Amino acid sequence: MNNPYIPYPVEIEKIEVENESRDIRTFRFAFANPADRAAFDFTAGQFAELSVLGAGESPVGIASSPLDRDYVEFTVKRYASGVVTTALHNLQPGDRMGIRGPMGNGYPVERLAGRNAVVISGGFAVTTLRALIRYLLHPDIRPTVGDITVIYGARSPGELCYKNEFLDWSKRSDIEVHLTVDKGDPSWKGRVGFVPAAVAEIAPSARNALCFICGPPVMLKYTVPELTRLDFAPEDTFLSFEMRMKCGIGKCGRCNIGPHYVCVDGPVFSLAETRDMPLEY
Amino acid sequence: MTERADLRTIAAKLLADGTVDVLIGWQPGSSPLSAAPLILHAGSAGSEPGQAGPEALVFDARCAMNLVNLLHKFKGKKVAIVVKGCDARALAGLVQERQFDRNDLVVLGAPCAGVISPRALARALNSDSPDSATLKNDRIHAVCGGVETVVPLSDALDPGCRRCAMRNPQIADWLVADPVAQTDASEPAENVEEAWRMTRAERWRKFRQEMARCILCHACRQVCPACYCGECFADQSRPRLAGRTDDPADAMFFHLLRWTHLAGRCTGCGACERACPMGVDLRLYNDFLREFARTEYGYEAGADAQAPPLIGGFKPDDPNRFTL
Amino acid sequence: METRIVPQTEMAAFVGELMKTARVMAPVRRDGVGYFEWLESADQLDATCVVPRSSPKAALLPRCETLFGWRLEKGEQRIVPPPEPIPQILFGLHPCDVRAIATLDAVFASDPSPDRLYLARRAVTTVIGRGSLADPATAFFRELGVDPMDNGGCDLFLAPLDPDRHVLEIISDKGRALLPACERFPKADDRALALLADLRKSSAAKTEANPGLEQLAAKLAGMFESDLWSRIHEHCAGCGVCAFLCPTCHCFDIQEEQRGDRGARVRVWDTCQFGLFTRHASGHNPRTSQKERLRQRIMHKFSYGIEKFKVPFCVGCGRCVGCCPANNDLRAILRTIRETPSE
Repeated sequence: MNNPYIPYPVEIEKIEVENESRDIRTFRFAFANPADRAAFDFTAGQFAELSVLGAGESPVGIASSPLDRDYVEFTVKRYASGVVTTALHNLQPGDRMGIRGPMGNGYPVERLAGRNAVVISGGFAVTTLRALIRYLLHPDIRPTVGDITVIYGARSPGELCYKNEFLDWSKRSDIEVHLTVDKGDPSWKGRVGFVPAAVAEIAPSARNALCFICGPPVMLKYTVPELTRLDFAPEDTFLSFEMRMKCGIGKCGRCNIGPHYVCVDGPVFSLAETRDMPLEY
Repeated sequence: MTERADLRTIAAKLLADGTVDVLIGWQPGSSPLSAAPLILHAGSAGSEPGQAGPEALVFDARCAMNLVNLLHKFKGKKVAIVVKGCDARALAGLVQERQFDRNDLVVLGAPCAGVISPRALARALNSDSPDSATLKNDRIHAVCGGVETVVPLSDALDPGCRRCAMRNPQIADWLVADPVAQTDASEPAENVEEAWRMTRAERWRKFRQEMARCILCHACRQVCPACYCGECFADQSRPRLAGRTDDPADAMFFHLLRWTHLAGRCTGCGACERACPMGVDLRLYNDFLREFARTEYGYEAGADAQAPPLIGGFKPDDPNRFTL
Repeated sequence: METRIVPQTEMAAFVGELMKTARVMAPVRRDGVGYFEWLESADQLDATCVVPRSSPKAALLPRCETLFGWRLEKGEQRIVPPPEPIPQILFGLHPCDVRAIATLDAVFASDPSPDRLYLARRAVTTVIGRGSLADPATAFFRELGVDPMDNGGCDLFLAPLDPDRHVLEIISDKGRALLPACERFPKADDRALALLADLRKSSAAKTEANPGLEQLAAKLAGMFESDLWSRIHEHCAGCGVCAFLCPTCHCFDIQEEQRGDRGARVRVWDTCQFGLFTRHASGHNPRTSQKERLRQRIMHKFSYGIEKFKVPFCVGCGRCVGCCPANNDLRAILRTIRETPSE
């Protein structure tokens, strides 16, 4: 049995600034020991603790696809009070750090065989859904699932994460991508409006579909009723939660919502499961 | 002028006639010789079965916590609060620091001849878990391990209470008991004198030993009426100032910085020491602070609710032998 | 089972023998107050203390524990694994404290990632329980089904016969490994064992056989929005006394320690009573006031713990009752919960 607190050593291969505010960056890591990548077998929706010795750890959703075999990516927002996120943002390609994981349950991708996927997201919360989309678009996986519909919004065009990737996807015929922004700018030719309104207007079909939704609390609050109106079953609608975490392995006792430890039992829960949860998140 | 009143009667009246929204006082506690805060809300006090009302209020030597600490939870409300002399000073300090408007408060002063310190009681009984204990005529009758012991109340009092010079609350609107005899305030604190008689090495050893006991549960901070920072330095994460390891240096840093914040503000109520589960001699260091304030600046924290706070008032001729 | 008679007067000598084989944590008394501490010498032992104020959890989950160390070597960070734990004996644990260890075991051994650090320490730990015929005034372990004469979970058990004698029960392989330290004591005769059986019978009769903890858990699960919480938090000061003295509270924080070119990642005790406990880096905090924090404490102990780990996170030792600066009595809170009509 290994010490579950010791991270795998990784090297930063690439850093991408995601937004105009420059407080969201995507880090691409290569494992120092290739065997560790093999052991780091994950499902889209899982997360890991990013570790900077001397600064600490931060739980972050995995943004790359499980089938991106050579590397893993994480998108990290820097907060003024966040010691680890700030330390991360100060690192350069070539720097060494650590990863502990994968952790949590991930999206139930096995249930998508032969079914349609509806993916709804807002702002920076899109990270693990990007992992899911990349996974579903993999040539080995794409034929096994039905239609893929994506609705993704951000405050402004400059705050859309993975913007080029989404724009590339929107040109493809095997995925339907709708991007929306709360407030446009002169260069923005796309949709303007909040995510819940976009969902109501686009009205993705609930037939034979699973829905995956991740976003800020206010987006969730107004989007969930739209999904209900569209007849998405609570058992087929999945949300991902964020809580303050430390150990990531169900021991330190701080990330629970009711009896559910988000780090182990989550972070993905069906809407049906969340209906039984106390409102404490 | 401060009028004499019966605690339960005045409490019931203040709640009933709408003078206050909340009343904070004492009720008998559940473990031997303890008291618990009793918080009564106008309109609902004693209305539910099993819920105590004003008739449950008491004041005696068991009432050790400083209730002024709880006032912070009721900011913006009209509150009546039962205070001992030391608590009244803590309250005056908060009024000085503009945390509360005196007009929002009805102060029920409880003249106090001293409260029981769990630490002194345990020392007197050689046990901190008596099967039972009662207070009768200034004597404590306790049963420990089936054996009955009687000790004088004075042995179980907080040592700070024995030399207290603020037994009768200064800023009370009502007195809920007859005033008690004061002691002479001019005597320097014995514990401080004794610590000064030690060599530097002895003082350091004592300090290290005390700090090594601290488990950083933050009870001292949480029960202190003067600790009301929105975010304590000890909780800051960026930069993180205070460590939480078992290295005594972390406890030292926490307490030293806390004392820095309490200099000229601590009124010596002793609530922190009575709350400390590990028996850390917090009083000694608080008394150091108070002695400095008294001897160097002629300042008694909380003695005058109108005066500017010691730290907030600069005089050109302030002594500066602490200036680095 | 092998049994011996240990005279009260020989207790320190017994501990002295044990100290030759491992480090020993046992009750000591300072200024009248009992604490569990690592002994430096056997005469520090206080053989009268029933439930010392500090709990023995510190032996299994130290207040500060190195998860791993690191140092910089030629610009490279090298991980240094923590030292392997050394054999340790926990002496004189009240059966409620022994039950608390079972709670910690349930959490730290849980899948999918058992905590190797805890389990390694646990593996080299020998538990010597000591029964009690008198319950401390603040304790309520019987209510929770813990019998103070029960030797379950112990490697050795000292069962009191009278103020002068204990029957030493040698229960497990770990206990038998300590036989050399026990052989100095005479074997227990039939009369002593018959007396012990009687004492056990009457103790069991006073202990709740069916504490109804599952029902309590289920009831609490429906009480999240109860107004009980707005009533009981008002005088809570929000300190960590209850959690830090609690033998089952195990929540921890992970922090960085660094000095020059070396450092360590450590875990330190933490508690749901502290405001910082659940505050996100973004500033959002799901538990903004003491109301939510105290509710979490009660729920974790009597609902979530039972639902998730099948054990209550409370053994009724009464430490939090006796030491709460505001006398916020957990027994009274439990009573109110039980008396609240179910919805």
